[in-house]
Amino acid sequence: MNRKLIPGRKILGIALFFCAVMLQFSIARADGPLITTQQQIPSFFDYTDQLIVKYRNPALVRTAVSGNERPDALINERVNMLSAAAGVQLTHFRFMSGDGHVLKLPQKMTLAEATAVARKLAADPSVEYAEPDARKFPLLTPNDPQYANQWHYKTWGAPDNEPGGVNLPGAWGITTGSSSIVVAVVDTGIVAHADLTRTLTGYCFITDPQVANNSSCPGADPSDPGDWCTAAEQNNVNSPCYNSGCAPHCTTQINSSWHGTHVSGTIGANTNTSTPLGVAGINWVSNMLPVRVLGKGGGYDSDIIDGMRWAAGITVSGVTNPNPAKVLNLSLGGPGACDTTWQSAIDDITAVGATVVVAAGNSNANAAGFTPASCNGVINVAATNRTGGRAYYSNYGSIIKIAAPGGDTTTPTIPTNGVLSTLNKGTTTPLPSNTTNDIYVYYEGTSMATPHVVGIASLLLSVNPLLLPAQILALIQQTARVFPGSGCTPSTPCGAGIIDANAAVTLVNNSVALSADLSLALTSAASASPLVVGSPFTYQVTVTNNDTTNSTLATVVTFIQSGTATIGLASGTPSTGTCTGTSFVTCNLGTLNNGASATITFTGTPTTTGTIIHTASVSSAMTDPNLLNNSWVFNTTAVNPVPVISSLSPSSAIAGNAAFTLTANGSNFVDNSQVQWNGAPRTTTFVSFTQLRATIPAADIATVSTAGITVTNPTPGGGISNTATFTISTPPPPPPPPPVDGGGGGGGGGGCFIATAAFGSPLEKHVQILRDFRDRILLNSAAGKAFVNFYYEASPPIARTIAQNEGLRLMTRASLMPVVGVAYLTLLWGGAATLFFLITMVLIFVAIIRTIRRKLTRKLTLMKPKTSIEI
Amino acid sequence: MTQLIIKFRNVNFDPAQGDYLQKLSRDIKATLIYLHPMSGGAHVFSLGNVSATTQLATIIQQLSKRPEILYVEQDKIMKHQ
Repeated sequence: MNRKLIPGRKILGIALFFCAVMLQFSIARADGPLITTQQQIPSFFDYTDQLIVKYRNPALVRTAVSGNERPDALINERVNMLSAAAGVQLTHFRFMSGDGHVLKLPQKMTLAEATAVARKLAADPSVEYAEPDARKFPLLTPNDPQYANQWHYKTWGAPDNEPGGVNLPGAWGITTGSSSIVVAVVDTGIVAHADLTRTLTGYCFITDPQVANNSSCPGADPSDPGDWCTAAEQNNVNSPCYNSGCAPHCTTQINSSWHGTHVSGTIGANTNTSTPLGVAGINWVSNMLPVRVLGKGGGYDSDIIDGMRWAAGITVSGVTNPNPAKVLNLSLGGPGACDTTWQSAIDDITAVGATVVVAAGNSNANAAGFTPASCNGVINVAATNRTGGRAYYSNYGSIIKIAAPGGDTTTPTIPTNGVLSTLNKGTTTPLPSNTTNDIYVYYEGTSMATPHVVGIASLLLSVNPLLLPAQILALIQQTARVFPGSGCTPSTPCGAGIIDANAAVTLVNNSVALSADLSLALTSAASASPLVVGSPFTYQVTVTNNDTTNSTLATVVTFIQSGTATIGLASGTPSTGTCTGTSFVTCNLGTLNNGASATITFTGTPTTTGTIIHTASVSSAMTDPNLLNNSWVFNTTAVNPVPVISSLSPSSAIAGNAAFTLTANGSNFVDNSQVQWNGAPRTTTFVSFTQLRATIPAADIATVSTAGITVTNPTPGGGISNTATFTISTPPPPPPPPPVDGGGGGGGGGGCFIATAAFGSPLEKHVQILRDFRDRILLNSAAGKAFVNFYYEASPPIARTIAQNEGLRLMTRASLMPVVGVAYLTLLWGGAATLFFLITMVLIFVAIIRTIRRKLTRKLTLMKPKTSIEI
Repeated sequence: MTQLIIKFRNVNFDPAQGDYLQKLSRDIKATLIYLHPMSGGAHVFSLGNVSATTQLATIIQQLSKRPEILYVEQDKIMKHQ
């Protein structure tokens, strides 16, 4: 071949999308899939490395078509002239029927690029026509006898015309799965079924024996013993089967669901085998990993989350998974927004590259109120019916990512409008696997929609196993189909559309065949090293598409902490696209054109000490010829800062007061900071990086002094803060009696000594009435003032005596009650009652004095020696 | 049975040791029984038949204020969909 390079000419950039028309053909094979290609598929990012050209000059046509026939000099000369015109080095490949010539392009090009070259050739007067030699793929129809009843897998256009189908036949023409991909079904476990044989050894994580309903959990036995609930169990408040909807009058048994078995069949039932059986599954090759976390009445968050981490390859309680899954199916959920335990587990799983697909829920409500559908980083799936509209039960909402067939057997009642998959005939315990007990049943639910997305995601990974969860999401959303049915409205959104398996798999297949060199480099780092707990750190990276031709698809940058320190309050700010996550941050930059760059600023705060190995990585759906320049690692440590106290609240106390809570305000506090009182530690509560609270015992403020308050932070780093002074003061003297020489009423300020002693407190309500009477009535008259003066002179010693004797206190209270009543009425009504009060008080005062004297006299008499009588 | 997931600030802290659980149970006026550790460094406890109402919310609030506890959440029941 005479290849001549065209110096100085470059291939132009192109648009991404191009529609191609599929030719129709069908080939029937006796023991293989029925291949029927009758589909007009919009090809996204399709590629070719060939052109078809027909020349006007008959002299360039050969009468015999032979792929081995060497072109003569005339043909080569013509090809070189066309290469010069197009700016691309073309090579004659072969002759084809219809007097056509197949020319080779110098490399794979997208159809749009190839079309641009073809147009230049067509402009040459020697060329009758020129067009890309586009690629076509077969539609595969499995030979499973029940495939005909699985409308949910079919083509939405011809030949099947199932509007609710996910368009699998075309996808199967590209891939039917890969043995290197493992899919985890985190569910009720699995039962033996002849149509489900590609299952690995899983695990059961159920820790409650009643929920587990067998003795092998937790342990390496994920088999489903049945989750039936008898009526008695449903009426029993102590049973996990307790059914508040009908208890205590439940009468109907809930049969075993075999839920995990049904979900597994959708993902990977044996398909298109030499002994056709039952239903088809989406992935014909990959293995499934059963992880049992649901039993009678459901399953606990803690067990499910342990099962999820294990499924992704994270060791749990010393149990290691030798077959980490790349996709997890969680057809489960419950009310409540995503909490910390769930979110941290999903972050951990996503960080190791596994995709978590979850059911949106069956409550016909906003999925934002359900877990795990509302967790960040999952692909949550709404359910559609056979018409391609929202199923009546499906949750919805702006957080929904995608929709898939969940079926609808009730509106109207057509059982075959459900999702058909594998099941066991047993109503309680499983029946042995045989042709009678291995059955196939239609179910409906977002549980059934979820494995459609899982199965298709596993096909994408079978084509490109390097795809990250964010890329899988971007690809299925980009290729999703508009809802042909009703129910997904602006107020009840159901995600980007119905998942389209053929479009998504085709896109991934085309993308991975094209290459683009992405690189990531540090632009700036604003933080010193080591980092300090509680202080944010920031760095910026720049991502560049170094390719001269190809744009990148589904460009994703991840920021992952793999050191021992915890990073929180994290965020990414991109120059294009979006970032999500507050611990594990993912940024989706979408398409990056050849030669283009984007920046992302990452900010995070270490919340614990430890090592920081923070890796920023970029990838796309394309093949990257150079992976060495795709990451940057920030390697440092996080240490405790030296704390600073700015103020104390309170900053003083009265000597002899009770224990109290001291608040220290400042900065650089950490969760194990400790307040010290004169160097001695006090029980400390971490409120925030700027506030601590400490319990100060009464003994610390028993005497007048000052105390030095410090805060210590432990190592690594850490240290002692500045010292703040706390003052313990002398109790203030009691206030002097109020002036009574014509100063008027309105509150003398002094106490009612006798009443206070009797009732126990100057703030006691009866004392308060007497005080008000003094201030508002007595002090407004000369007689009243005279009495008050006399009272202040005479009553203190009497009050002291009364205070020390409970009997006297009781008697005094009783005596004062009518006075209090009169005083109260006087305050209400005023007037002549004042006089009555004065007389009454004098009489009572005298009576008390006499009583005290009588008691003292009797005491002295008892102490005198008896007089002896001389006889 | 009502269960709680509790994560402690000190990842090495073993709540099952010593009389910590007794003191904790006294403080919240409910019996906490240690069940098992779980992945992610948290621990699972049983609260018996404390119902998921105001009493549970109060217990969670009280526990959340303790300086040694990072977070407390109910170990909820999920069902297949």
